Amino acid sequence: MTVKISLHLIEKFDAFLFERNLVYAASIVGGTAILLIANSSRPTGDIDSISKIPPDIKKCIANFAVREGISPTWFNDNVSRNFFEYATHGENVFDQALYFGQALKLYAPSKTALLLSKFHPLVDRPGTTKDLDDIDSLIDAGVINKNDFQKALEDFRTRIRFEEESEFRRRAWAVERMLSSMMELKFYQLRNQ
Amino acid sequence: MKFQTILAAYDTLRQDEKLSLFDDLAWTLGFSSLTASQPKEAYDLEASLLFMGVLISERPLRLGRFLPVLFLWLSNYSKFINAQKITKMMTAYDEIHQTESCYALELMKRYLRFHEPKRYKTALKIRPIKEAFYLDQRMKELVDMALELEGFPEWLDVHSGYMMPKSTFHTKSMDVLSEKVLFDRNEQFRLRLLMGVCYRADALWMLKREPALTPTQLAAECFMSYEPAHRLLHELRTYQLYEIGAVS
Repeated sequence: MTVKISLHLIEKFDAFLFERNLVYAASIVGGTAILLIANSSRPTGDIDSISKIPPDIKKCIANFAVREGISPTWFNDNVSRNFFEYATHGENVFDQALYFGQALKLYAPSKTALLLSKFHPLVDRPGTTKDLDDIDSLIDAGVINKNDFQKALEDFRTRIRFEEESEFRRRAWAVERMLSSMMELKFYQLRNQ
Repeated sequence: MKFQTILAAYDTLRQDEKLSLFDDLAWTLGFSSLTASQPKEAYDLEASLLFMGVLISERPLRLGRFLPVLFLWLSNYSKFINAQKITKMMTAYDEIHQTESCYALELMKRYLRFHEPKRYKTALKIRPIKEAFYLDQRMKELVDMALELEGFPEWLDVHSGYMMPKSTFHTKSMDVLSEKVLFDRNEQFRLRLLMGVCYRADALWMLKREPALTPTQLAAECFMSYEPAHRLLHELRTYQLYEIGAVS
């Protein structure tokens, strides 16, 4: 399957930046990063950057959105608080190169960090399937193995152990239980395929 | 593309074709999706909404992330929906797919019945479900916790069987493109804005695409009877409205 997450859109934006003599390197997470890594063609809504977007690039993103008739937040830096904290505490957020254009370079953090960027939102938005779908995509594409998953889960446990808010902690441990059983089942199924 | 054409072909589509259909529909409706692209052929608004619901309901496609966007669209633009037409389309779809139920379609019906009872309550038939429905069974415990904390959205309740907390439908306002963008890109939408939500606007839209449109075709596509379809086409052709720039 070809990478469809509008590489053409990213290429166009790369040219757009190049024409204006601007360069930008971002580390991205969320659905788009996962789809690029998993080489999937599933639709996604936006690009979530954990690198702060400078004002001149933000202006370009907005102008590009108007030109293409897409959402002005198609490229944004509103990542979850939990993950942002995690990423700024020593994790190499430029671990994997995803796209190298003339003016635009996109990276993703390590697989563990990427998984964590999907584990944390599960606590806040359990009613949606998007995070579980992304995790499934990574596993199905063979991008992460059981060890990566275990490592990410262990990191997740460490982080939620220190959460002060009891309601959040209760939900976070429910997520942990769900992810543990999901991991066992999913990798068992993959082994027996 | 016409409703009847998609309906006839839908069940035979491969997964990649369904994803490509999604891209076309996302563009038509103005969903913020990075893969959406302008379709070769324009899609009918009600047909787009209905099949968007069908595609989102298909678990293997993993399009569940767009469920809240669909409801944001409804909250912004439901006034542009032809109630009679979408009701008849949903009924036609349900008649063919009697055994399987599309959760997103069922939710749409409930949403429309709650928010616009005069237009939908009696006409739009909902299918009761036998057991509690969770978007993903793995999330059952978490969803129950969230329901305890947040409760259901106002248009759903525990008796509906759809176990979805308010946060399921949480989305950013930018996930659906503005009325101005839709006005620019979608001619059918533009005509409805100018002429109101009526069959005349749709007939004009179809006639522009298909000058040889017959009353039978128009009647089948818009779920109207032959006589008004014939009259409408006759009037539009007599005054050649579709040629003088009424539709541009």
